[in-house]
Amino acid sequence: MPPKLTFIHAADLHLDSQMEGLTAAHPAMKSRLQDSTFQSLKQLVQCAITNKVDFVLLAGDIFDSNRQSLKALVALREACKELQKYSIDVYMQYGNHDFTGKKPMMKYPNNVHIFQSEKVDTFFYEKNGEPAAAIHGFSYTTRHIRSRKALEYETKGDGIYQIGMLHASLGTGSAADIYAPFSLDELKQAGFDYWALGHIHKREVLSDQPPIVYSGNIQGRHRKESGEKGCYLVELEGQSCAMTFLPLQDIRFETVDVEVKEGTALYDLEQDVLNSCMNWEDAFGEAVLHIIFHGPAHLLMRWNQEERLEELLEIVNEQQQSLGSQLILAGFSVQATLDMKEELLLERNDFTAALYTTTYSANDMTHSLEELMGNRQFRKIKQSYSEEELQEMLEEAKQLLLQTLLEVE
Amino acid sequence: MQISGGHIYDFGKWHEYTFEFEDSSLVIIQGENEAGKSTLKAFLIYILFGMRSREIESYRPRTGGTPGGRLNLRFPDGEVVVERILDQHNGQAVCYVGSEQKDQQWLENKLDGMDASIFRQVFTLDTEALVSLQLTDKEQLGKVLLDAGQTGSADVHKLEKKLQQELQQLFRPQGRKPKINAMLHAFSEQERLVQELTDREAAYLPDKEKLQEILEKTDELQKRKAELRAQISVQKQVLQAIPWQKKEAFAKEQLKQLASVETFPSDGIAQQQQIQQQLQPLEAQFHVHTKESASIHKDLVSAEDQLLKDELYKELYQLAAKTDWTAYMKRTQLLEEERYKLQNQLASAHVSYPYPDEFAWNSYIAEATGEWRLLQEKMMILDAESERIQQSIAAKRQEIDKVDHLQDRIDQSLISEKEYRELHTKKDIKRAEKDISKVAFSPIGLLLVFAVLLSGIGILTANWLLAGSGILLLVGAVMHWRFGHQPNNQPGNSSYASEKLAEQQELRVRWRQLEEQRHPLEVQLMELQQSYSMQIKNREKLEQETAMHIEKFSFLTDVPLVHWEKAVQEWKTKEQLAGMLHKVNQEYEERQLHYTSTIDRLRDILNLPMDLPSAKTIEQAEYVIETQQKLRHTKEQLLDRQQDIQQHIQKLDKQLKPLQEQKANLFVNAGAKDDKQFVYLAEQYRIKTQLMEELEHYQLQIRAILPDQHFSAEEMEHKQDKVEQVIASLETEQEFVEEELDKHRQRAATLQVKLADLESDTTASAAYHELQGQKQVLTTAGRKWAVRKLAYDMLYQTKRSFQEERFPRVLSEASSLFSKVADQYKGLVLTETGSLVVKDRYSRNIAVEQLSRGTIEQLYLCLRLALSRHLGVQQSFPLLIDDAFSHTDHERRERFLPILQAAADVQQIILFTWEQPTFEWTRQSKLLHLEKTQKTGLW
Repeated sequence: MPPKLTFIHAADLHLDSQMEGLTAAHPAMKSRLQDSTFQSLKQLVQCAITNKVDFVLLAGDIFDSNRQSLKALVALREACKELQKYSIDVYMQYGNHDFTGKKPMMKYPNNVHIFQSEKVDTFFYEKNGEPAAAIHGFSYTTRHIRSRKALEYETKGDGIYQIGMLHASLGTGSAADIYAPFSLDELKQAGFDYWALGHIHKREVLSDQPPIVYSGNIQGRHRKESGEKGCYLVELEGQSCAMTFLPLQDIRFETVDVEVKEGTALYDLEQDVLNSCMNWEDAFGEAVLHIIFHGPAHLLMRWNQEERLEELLEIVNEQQQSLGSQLILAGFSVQATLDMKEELLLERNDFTAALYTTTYSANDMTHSLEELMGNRQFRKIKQSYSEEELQEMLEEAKQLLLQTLLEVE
Repeated sequence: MQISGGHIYDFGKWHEYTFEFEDSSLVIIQGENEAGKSTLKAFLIYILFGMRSREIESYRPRTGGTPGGRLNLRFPDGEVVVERILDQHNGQAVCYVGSEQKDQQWLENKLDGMDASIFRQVFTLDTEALVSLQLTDKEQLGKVLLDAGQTGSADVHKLEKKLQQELQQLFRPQGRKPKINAMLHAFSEQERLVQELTDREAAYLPDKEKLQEILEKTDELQKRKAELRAQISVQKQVLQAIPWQKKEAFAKEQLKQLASVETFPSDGIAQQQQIQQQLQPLEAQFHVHTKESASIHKDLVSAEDQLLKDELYKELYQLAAKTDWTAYMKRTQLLEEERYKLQNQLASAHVSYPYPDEFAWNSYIAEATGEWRLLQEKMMILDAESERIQQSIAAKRQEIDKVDHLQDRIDQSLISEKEYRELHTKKDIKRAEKDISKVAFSPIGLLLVFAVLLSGIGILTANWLLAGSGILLLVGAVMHWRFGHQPNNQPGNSSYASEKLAEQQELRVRWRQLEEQRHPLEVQLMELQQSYSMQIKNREKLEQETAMHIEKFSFLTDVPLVHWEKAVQEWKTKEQLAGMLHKVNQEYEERQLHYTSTIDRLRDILNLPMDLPSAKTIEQAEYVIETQQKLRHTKEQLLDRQQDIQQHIQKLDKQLKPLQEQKANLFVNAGAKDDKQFVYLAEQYRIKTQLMEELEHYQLQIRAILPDQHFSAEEMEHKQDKVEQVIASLETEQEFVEEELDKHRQRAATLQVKLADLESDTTASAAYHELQGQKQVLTTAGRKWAVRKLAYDMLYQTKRSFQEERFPRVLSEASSLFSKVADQYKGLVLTETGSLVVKDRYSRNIAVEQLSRGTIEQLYLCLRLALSRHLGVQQSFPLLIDDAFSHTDHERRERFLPILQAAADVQQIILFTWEQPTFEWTRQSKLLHLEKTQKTGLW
């Protein structure tokens, strides 16, 4: 019976990653946010040391890109050095973001074990001089892996824990399966004691027996990566496995709703938001907030067009900062309700009604956006708009038109 | 639908105001500015469609009521009363159809889904629309008119323009300034920067590897350096040891040559030194004593030689030493001097009287001398007495002579007794007359008398001399009298007689006095003369006595008594001097004799030449005596000393002997014959010992430097060169290694700095984040553009389809209207290119831009009317025209009337105007006049 093992399972560190949707954030806050992935890493190291773990598993996408910024490399090296001081080993694999097409850029200390190739490899971990675990894994050397890498995992060594590190996504059977697709059955059949998965940023336990776990990323990077982020502290003892989630995020991303009532003045709204900030801070602590304003279109659309809402966020941010609050109102969106009745509108034959009922095909849209999308530079930034995005924009465009026409006084 | 009337509860300035349009389809509401026309219009819209809270706020009455009211609407199927009060039913309309109450939704359906915005767009027409039409560019005019026909107000056009503007500001395919263009440019710049920085960072790993290599190489070099250093150190030790070894060999060689001193006892020098230490002072003493003894002996012999025989020495001593030659010579000299002195004294001895041969001083003479002296004194006193008396006699006689002389003189002055008597008598008379006239008796008076007399006589006698004398005398007497005797008026004549008398009296007294003096003098003279005779008798006595002495001492015969004593004394002195001289001469001669014999003897004893001066002889003799004395004394001393020394020598000899024996033994042991040899051997022994020590030291050094190795002498010579060579080559290599090491270290340092810079440099990361940020902003901006572009295109497309589908009907309606009011035009047409043109009666297309302002306004109105009718195809809505024509002139305004009249057939038209309408207008319409101050009331 192998000895009890304690380790940390983390993935998708995305060190030095860009934080998205911070358009309204104060520059100082921006730099603070850009440092957050590093802060989370420090937190991770601290947790490892505090919990006296045997080793740390980093299941891919440690860096935000295969560029592997030197700042990130140095930070990781220093983290590993710190862990080395406490005899904590580190097992690392590269994912689809930090795939190593080129040679690795950093020389890590001896406690670091990296799966270098796309071939599934195994490291043996010894505890008290005795082999205790076989850790299997591979690294991305290209952006996409379509093969079912899960099938290549095999147990090695007897009487030791078998731990799989896999940066992949559940197969859907579609063409989108480009990240080493796997099925739960495939993993279960391998007969491993623990599957440390990476790639999906939302933490999820796919299976309890055996544990097949996405630890999620350690720090949210945009409003869709909301809530607590962190790693799992895993304790393997015989057949039993105990998992404890350890939050590591330096700052949370959250989305909040603000209702704007008919007849609300802008300064009332500002006050509302300021008041809400206290509640949000209580609820989330340090957080990056995305606000969705709900309310009548004639108010919100106008304010939005006049860039009043941006100003409002800036003002609130400034006030929050002066109050020492760690809340950042990073951005907002508007969900306006048009003051019109569709069925009545459909009966009408005026221009507004015609505008409302008009249809605009995908083709038309492509044609409309040709000017911008024809720009090579812009295409670098936005290759194309998805159908969903196009529909969203179309809806917004229509609202813009209707709102303007309906607001005639 | 028509509005037939209404009631305002509260709305803006209106309060409880009821209005009635009846069934009129053309309503003209006239009122001046501020009469409430616009408020009324807003009220109509509010009741029909409601209002945004922000908007209704402006119609909240100042008095505090709630905006609200009701409208009576007439639909084809009946009347409806619509009531809307802001704070009732949530501000929603309540409709009353008969007794039935309907809600807002019912009303909305009833109004065919019409809302405020569309109603405003289509069914309101105001000044602004027409004014803006006037201001519109000709190029845009067709478009505006077309829009008016399609959508009513210019809002769509405005929106289109706004969107276009925004799009232009955001992005232009070929632009640089628009936001996205600028951002894209910045983005590409940033991208380049990121690439640059990434490239720079890309050098990190190769540099790191290079650094590793260099560090390894540095380690290697370090090791090699240490090795070399060790080797050099070993070789240097060998090199260091070689001189020691050479010294060792040399020392050994020297030791070999010192074999002869092997028997030399190890403590030989110490023993020798110890003995020598004891021996040396003793020997020294012995030597000194011996030497001294010899010297004493020599001195003794010499002294013996010099010594006189005892008899001779004694005689010499008696002769010379016992004589005080100095005193002797002094005495002789003194005697000689005395002799001379006496001779001189004798020669110079003064005798007042010749020395009588028979003179010899004796007691008789001495005795007589006393008598002589008395005699002599008596004689002298007598002489003195007689002289004095003679003098006194002479003096007395002189005095008497003097008195006699004086008396003689007085006698000469004395008058005769008779005369004296006369005078005396005269004096008594005159004393009686004295008070009467003193003048007469004054001499002056007399003189005057005499003078007058004299001069008178002279004159009389013609004796001028006499007369002159008399006058002069007279003048003199007068003068004397006047000045000199003025106070004394005593007349001269009388005083003279008295004076004469007094004088005579005095003289007589004097004479008698002298007479009295002379008498004693004569007595005294006599007495003196008696004394003198007495003395003469005494003298005779004395002279007798003197004669007696002369008889006794004959030698005094020629000598006066006075000098007797003196002469005898002088003779006596001479006699004494002659005696003394004789004695001196005698002694002197005796001495001379003794001296000469002594000197002669001395010469004899001392074997001196006889002609040697006596002084020298004496000197010599004294010297010899002194020398001999000294010699004798020295001899005695020497003898004493010699004895002492002999005793010492014996003592020393006893001490010396054992020591000398020891020394001899030591020498035998050391193999030395004498001191010199011993010292030599001792020196050799010392050298040997020293060499042994040095040898030991050398060996110790060698062992210390090279514990194992040892070379022979030949080897050493050979080795030194080799070792030096080896060291040189090793040092060269070491230098090379050090240089290499330096180079490597330098490179390592440079690389480390570079790497550290790279590691600490967050520029790349920051630039990347900046790039990502820009990307986000660009994405957002792109989206914004896309939304606006879609909106714009959609608007355009809708307009096109609207134009195609619905506009033709509006156009024909407008055309028909237009042809009615503008008789020179047949109608309106939309060309294929989508532009609006007017057809004239010859069916020619005329561009709207070419039309006059008035015609364009008509055309606009027609289009708006047509649009409103078209939209109200199911039912018509009232058209609200708010001062739309007020800016036009009367003629133009009149051209609107037929249009409105025509329109009013189809839909209700409510015209708000500030102008009093003409009859033409009012004839067919319902006129509602609003007073400026009017607040309530029924019209």
